[in-house]
Amino acid sequence: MIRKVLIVEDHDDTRHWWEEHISEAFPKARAMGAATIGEAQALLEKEEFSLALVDINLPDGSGIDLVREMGQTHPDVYCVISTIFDDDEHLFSALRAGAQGYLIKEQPWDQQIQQLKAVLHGQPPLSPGIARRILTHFSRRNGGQESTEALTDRERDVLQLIAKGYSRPEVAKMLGLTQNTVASYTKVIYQKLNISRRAEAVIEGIRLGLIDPY
Amino acid sequence: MTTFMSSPNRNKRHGTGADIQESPYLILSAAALLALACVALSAMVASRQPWLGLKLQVDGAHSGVFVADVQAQSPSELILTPGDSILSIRSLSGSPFIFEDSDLVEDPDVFPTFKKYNAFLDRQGVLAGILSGPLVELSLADGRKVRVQPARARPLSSFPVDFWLLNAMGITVFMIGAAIWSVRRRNLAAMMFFFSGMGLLITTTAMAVIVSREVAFDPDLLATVRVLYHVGNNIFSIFGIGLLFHYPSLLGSFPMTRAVAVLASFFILNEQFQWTDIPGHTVLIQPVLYFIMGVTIAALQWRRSKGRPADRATLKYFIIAFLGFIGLAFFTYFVPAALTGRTVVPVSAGLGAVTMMYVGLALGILRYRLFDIDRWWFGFWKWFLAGVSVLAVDGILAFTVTHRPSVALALSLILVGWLYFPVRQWVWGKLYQGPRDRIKQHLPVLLSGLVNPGISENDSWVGILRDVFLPLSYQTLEGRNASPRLDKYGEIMLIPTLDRTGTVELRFADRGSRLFSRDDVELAETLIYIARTTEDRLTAFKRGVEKERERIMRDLHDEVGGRLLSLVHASKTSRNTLLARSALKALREIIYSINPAEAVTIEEALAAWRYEFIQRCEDAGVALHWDIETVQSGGMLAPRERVNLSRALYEASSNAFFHGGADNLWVKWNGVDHQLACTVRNDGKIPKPEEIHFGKGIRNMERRLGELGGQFSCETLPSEGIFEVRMAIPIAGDGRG
Repeated sequence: MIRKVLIVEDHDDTRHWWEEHISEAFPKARAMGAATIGEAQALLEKEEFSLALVDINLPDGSGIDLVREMGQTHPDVYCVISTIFDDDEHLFSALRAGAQGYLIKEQPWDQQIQQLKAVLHGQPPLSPGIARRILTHFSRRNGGQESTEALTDRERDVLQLIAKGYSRPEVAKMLGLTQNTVASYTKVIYQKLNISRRAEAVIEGIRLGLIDPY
Repeated sequence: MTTFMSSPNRNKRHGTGADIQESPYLILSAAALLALACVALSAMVASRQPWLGLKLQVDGAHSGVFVADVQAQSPSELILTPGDSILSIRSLSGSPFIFEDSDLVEDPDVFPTFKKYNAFLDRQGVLAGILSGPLVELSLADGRKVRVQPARARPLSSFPVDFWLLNAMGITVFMIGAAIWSVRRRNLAAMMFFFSGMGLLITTTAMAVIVSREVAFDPDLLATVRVLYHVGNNIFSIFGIGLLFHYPSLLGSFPMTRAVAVLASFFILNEQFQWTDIPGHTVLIQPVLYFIMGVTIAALQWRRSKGRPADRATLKYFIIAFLGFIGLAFFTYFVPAALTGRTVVPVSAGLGAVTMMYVGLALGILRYRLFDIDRWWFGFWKWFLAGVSVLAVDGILAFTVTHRPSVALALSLILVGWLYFPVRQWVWGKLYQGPRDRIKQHLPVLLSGLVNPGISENDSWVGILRDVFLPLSYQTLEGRNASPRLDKYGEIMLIPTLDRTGTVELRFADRGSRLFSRDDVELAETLIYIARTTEDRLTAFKRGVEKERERIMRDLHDEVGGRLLSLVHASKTSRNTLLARSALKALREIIYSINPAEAVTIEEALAAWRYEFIQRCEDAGVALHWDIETVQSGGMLAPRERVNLSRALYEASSNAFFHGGADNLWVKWNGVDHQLACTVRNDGKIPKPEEIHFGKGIRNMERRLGELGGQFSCETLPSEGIFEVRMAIPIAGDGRG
């Protein structure tokens, strides 16, 4: 049940728009807006949110960093990136940081709500470009150590088909799976992406002497 | 590659293996002992001659001989003075022996026939007989008669400089040969080289004795030493020619060394037994013959070494050594001796040239700085031909225009100076490109390679090096090299990559026709300097452009994007919302299209389009038939291409959805022959041909494809119930975008 939604958005009109309209999607939810990362952090300390919509370009930093931070401090909050840019590079960084999904700001309202609900139901969006990046990311880590991070063959199949431009229903049909199963694969892939990033961060931390492995 | 090319390694193995008991030091010590023994022998033999303490020269003005010098503490000291002219000599009991010019000949080889040589020996015998007496009487041109007591033996301290010089040459040559052989024992070339050096040692030892002759030697001794001298010469020639026949490549199965040995044996035996005079010159015909053989074999080797740069370079060493020094000796010593019966330069100078040649051959066998040989090669020919041309013109003039040598020489120098040198300079300019010319020639390649977008810096650098040096093969290696350098005698040139992380290895320059030289290293250094400087500037420029683009992108995003978004959210009418939304989409595309990092492969673009089309068709309730016939992999779409095609596709599908009321949409892709073509067909409400009006949508598609140098056409096929839009854009086939 979505109760409190954090809107991190420096653009006043958009933030107000979200604040006004969020209850249309989630009748029991209340939106609280923050125009900067600082404000967001202050609200996060005071309130318990179940969902955060985070813009990438914020006046005092990157929303992606905020998402990463929230992954550590508030792992129970659903983080969804809301951006004007739909380029793979930004979105991939956001997903790596732990975002569970993304919304493109100028999309029609009903589409955005639909996507947001899909994210919350464990069906995050996945475009061919993002799928390709995820595949490249995991193939580079092929020699990777932890088996929990590696993609299974099925997950790889899903990614490969999406990377070729097939839609989720098409992928489900081609692999003889249900759409829900394909969606759940996507969710797992997102999680692995985030886990792999955290593992890298730990390794990097050990390397820099910031983390004591013993 | 010849058998000998791998010999250094092979010898290294042997050096650490079974042959260790005969270490190089043992061989070298033995050789040094032998060489010293030869010096001792020559000194011992040379001292066994009666000695007056005079340095005699042929007297140009009078008959008889002329005292050039009187040695201190010699029998003639205080009796004779320099400048005295001696007409004759006699023992107290004998008749006077009148001196002739030939008595003082340094090298008895100048006599063309046995008869003349025998006459010389006879006179030496008489002279030696007179000098062996206790007291001799000399009649001087000024009428004085003086008596001198010849010493029984000639002291070491009185030996002429040439005696020591010749011995030094012999030791040098022999030790060089022994040194090379000691480390390359299985190498036939090294062995032949060693034996030819041994021949030279015999030559110099014998010649040292001959030049130490003050007035007369015992004729039997003299004849024996002279035979030894010739034995040495012939051994040197046998193995020298054998070496040239075997190295750098074996020229054939003909037993050349043995054949020369047979010829040499004939020469020696003929001298010993005086069977027959050889036409021209009984003795000096030998070096001439050997010289001609050497030149012929060198020419054959030259032909054989085509396409083998290392062999060719070695051969150039040999030719420089051979032609340069033997040629020098040949023209300055043997030719005048054969033609005039007199030597122009002392015999030590002639043998000095041979010694230098020997050193040259050693450098060739050791492949010392083979990569430098091309540089020296041209210099050598310039120098050699200058000398030859002066001599040749001098000779022609001396025989045709004037018989006065000095006039002939002066004329010859003038003619050569005014004719040969300018011609030489011209030919030189044609044949040889200085570093500056080479840079000038390769600059366009370099610069176009450096500014070639879409290729990585290192790839373009390898391409430039390939175009400039035309190597037989090349590869990029890991590991750094601070600056270009040569390896394996110039077979390989190693050049650092521009980012300094790796090394490019080039093998054999000019498609394998030559080794790399120092000129190439210098050229590579200059190329690196220019390339790095250009790269730095380009990077700075690109960074500036990128910074500016980022600023524009940020402004567009923050200012324009934000306001458009406000419009989207604030507008009351759906039309305005739609307009604001499409403006935002257009803005996003503009931002992408100015970012070169947004280039994608064709496959990626097709996947993204397919994904988008499926959504759109689903929303519009149209069935999508997406068909990719052939698309070559690796092709890239620049951001502008992607955006324009995207817009055109969007336009085409919108037409189908909204005007045509289509049930089906067929999108077919074909990407071959440097062209990406797309056909979008739809059914539904199909306009008649005359009903197609070129509205904004079609004009937009036309313009967008026209911008990319592509084609656009549309056609209505009412009979089939199909409307078709065809688009095509040119693409780079090699992934350069």
